[in-house]
Amino acid sequence: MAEAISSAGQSPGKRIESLWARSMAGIILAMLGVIVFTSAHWGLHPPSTVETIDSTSLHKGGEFSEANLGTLIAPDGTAVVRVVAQQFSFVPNCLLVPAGVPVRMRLASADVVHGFLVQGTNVNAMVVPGYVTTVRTKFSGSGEHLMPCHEFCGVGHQAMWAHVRVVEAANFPFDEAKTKGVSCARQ
Amino acid sequence: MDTDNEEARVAQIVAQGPTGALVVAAAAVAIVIAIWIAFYLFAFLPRGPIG
Repeated sequence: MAEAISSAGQSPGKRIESLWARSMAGIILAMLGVIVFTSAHWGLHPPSTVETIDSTSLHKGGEFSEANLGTLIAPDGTAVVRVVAQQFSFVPNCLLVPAGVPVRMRLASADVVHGFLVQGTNVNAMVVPGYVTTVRTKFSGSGEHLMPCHEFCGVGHQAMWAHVRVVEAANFPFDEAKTKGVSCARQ
Repeated sequence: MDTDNEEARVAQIVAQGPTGALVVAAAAVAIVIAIWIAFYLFAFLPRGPIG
């Protein structure tokens, strides 16, 4: 049948293959177009920065020293959430963030590759030793989200998770958060 | 004689082209695209901005 030449000059097999190739190319281009539009118009895209840090000395001071961990309000009003990921916990393990405020999460690993996602949101990234992971987002309503480690990091990986507690802006301690990192971790 | 008739009938059906296969393929592709669009509209976009 493939050898039969139709009056149109092309064999039916070739016509169907051509139709299939054109359809698939069209679908792939349409999907790429949606992805590009999402990034360009909505501003939604995977976070992409390369920032290095010395993972072996996080505890000795610098950006990820203990007083800076948790949520600090930057001068421009952004809530900067700093978290250390280690085997097998996030520090702090309960993150307090205000709703409706731009949030910048910054994570560093003290040992191996970890990952995290905030359930119910598009926050999803890896935390690689030697690098700082930055994710910018905004939480719309109050609530509590689970934030598990989603990259196998050793025998305790399945028990490694934090919570992200989003509170209404009125209930967030903005004044305290301007000087010291706040969190809802039990002290 | 019977097999001759049968072969002629088969040749006639085959000559009409693989429309059935095309319908199955098109349905499968449509389902996949519909699921992709559903995830995009109802799961990804509602989950908020990321950057």
